[in-house]
Amino acid sequence: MLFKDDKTARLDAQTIRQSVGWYRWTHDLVEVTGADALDVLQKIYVSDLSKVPAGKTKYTAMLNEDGEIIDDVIVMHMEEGKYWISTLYGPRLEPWVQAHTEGEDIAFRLITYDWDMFAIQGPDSPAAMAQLTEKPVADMKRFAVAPNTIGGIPVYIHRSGFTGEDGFEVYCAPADTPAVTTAIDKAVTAAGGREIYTLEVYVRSIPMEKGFALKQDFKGLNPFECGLGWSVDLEKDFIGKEATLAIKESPRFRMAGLVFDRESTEDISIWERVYLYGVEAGRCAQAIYGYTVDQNIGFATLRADIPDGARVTVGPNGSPATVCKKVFC
Amino acid sequence: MLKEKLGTEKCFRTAWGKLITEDEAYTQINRQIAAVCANLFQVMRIFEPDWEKRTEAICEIANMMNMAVAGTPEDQKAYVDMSLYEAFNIPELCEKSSWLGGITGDSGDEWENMAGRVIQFTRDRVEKELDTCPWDIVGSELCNMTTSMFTANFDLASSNGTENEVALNMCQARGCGNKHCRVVAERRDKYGLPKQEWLEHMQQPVDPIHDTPRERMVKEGQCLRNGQYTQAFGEETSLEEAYHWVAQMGWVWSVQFPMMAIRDMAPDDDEFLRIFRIVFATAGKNQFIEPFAKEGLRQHLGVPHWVDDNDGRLLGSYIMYMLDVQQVPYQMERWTEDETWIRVNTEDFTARYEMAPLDELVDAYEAQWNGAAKTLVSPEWSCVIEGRDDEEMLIKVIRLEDLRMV
Repeated sequence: MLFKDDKTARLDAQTIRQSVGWYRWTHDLVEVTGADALDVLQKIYVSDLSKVPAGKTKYTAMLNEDGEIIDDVIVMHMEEGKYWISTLYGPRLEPWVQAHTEGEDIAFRLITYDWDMFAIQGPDSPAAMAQLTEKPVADMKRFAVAPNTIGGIPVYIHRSGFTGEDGFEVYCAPADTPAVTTAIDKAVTAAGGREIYTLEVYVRSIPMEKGFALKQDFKGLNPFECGLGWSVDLEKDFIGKEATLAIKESPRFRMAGLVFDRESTEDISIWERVYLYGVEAGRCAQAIYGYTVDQNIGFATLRADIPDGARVTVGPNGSPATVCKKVFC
Repeated sequence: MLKEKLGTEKCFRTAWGKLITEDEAYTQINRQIAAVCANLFQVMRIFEPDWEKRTEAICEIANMMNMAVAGTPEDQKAYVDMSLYEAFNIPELCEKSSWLGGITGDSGDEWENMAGRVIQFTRDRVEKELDTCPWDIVGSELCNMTTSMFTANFDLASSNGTENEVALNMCQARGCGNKHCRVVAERRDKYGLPKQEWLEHMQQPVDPIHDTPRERMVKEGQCLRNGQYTQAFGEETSLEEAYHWVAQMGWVWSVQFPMMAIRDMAPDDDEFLRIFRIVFATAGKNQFIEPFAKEGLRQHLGVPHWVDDNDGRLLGSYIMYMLDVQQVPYQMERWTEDETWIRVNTEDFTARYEMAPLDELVDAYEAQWNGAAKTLVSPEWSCVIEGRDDEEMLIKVIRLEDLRMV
């Protein structure tokens, strides 16, 4: 929960938006290899991954048979025949794939504990990176991944992030974490930035302002109901395609933004009920304070017919809010 | 077009046919366990008049039992990895440390219909605020005891062996009459704080608290408001799962753990049971002493007007209701205006959580229901539980002359 008058959180947010900040951002990572790896990933994810060459990565989604998003990930094509899946739900990926494959040549390895990851995010992140890596990264395109070194330590650099700002991710072996941490802090400080301390700022507040959601925000939604239709390749087969085609024609819900009137949202938990004229019209996935927009904002899953500008109330105390697009700035 | 059928919701039917919803039953079980806990703590206050001594004793046992759940130190680290870090899907989002206890605590609170929120969740500080607590009738000893259980969770989640890095303070408690319950964990090295003894966990934190204004307080936990609890990383627990968890674990922490210490406060087992039964019998008699309490129960259970005030089935149907609320299976053997016999598997009744049987529940409920018989029905009626040492017991509501009534 973040509040307007939290000075540390505000400084953290300003640092990412206006300068450069770094934070540890390790989460689940699954390595997928084998002759049939691409074919299986094509079946599991909605995007056409055959168009992702080695050294490039792709944001995409995994659906169930009902066409509902059950995970959103970045598929990283590390080298020919080897993919990394960046997800928050690594241990669940393999059982899901196994349940939907039969005899394919594919191997999974949870490598979460083999790689620590740091995010370096903000408009000045290229300046920080210029002082950090041995090989220059300024020319790397967004969603490119490449090996590099920091003080002789082998790392991978991924030009990506979850902040809506220019940014990079650094992967290193856990044994090298202390040295890499020191080097990152030094480079970011030299570029005028600092370490980011507030978890909820970089996990929720900063991403939400730019419309970046977590898996739980997509609960029950199809990509065509939450602004991710662009990621779906309907020319290929994937789990949930049939349902997706139907939902594309007649969306049931829409993922919207909410801007709250009150100065704080202590009575709004995750998945709180949303009411239109007192009638339940959806759920608020989460509310948080956004320091760039200086408002309490939230994501909501609403009935598809509820337009931007509609006035709703959220939660047990009728917290008033206005429906809007899910990108706030 | 007319509806072809009615909607369905989860509920159970009382002996008189009234439907009790899952929401009502879940609300009731939390308060019922709290009531048994409150009675038990009266027993404790009789045996140990010194607040500090009795509080320290229950803190110690509750902490020890929480740690014991996780086994040896090696088992404990594995338990932490499995139940905390891997369960929450972001194993290295922050370094492993006691802060994650804040999320564990939040889950447990919401499962037990303690309505509130995590106010702050950072590497150095966790602040959790509750607006309601079903256990707020028990008293400050229990509030202190919960800090010893949090200490165990924090020890288990710690990155440096099994000793946590935080100063933990329940700086406000509904059980002490505060507007909120509030637990704050602040990293000791960051804030320059000493390690605490059991009775030092109700101090003020270093950083200021955030006090949610009354108009934004909530009256029910997430399971009742939203049909589910969702923790910070999106993991969901349904109302049904939370309810079943309470039906097992609510007894363990708030009755079983302190019971172990309180039995030791008594001079011997016989004296413990004598006082224990007296306290519960008194509670039972007082349950229905007022005419409106009886009337309220009749309405709640849907007792028809033709059922006489001196009909033992009034109590029989209350006991059935209580077993249903507590998710204890039973079979009806007799259900007449002269007697109610309810057959229950003894282990189902005593071992709500299989690993921690509570034989004292038989004494507690027999005494309480027998006391309740005197006021809910009349002194002609009694409740006895037969066969407690057998595989199955019979709970009987019968007419019985009792020359030595407690």
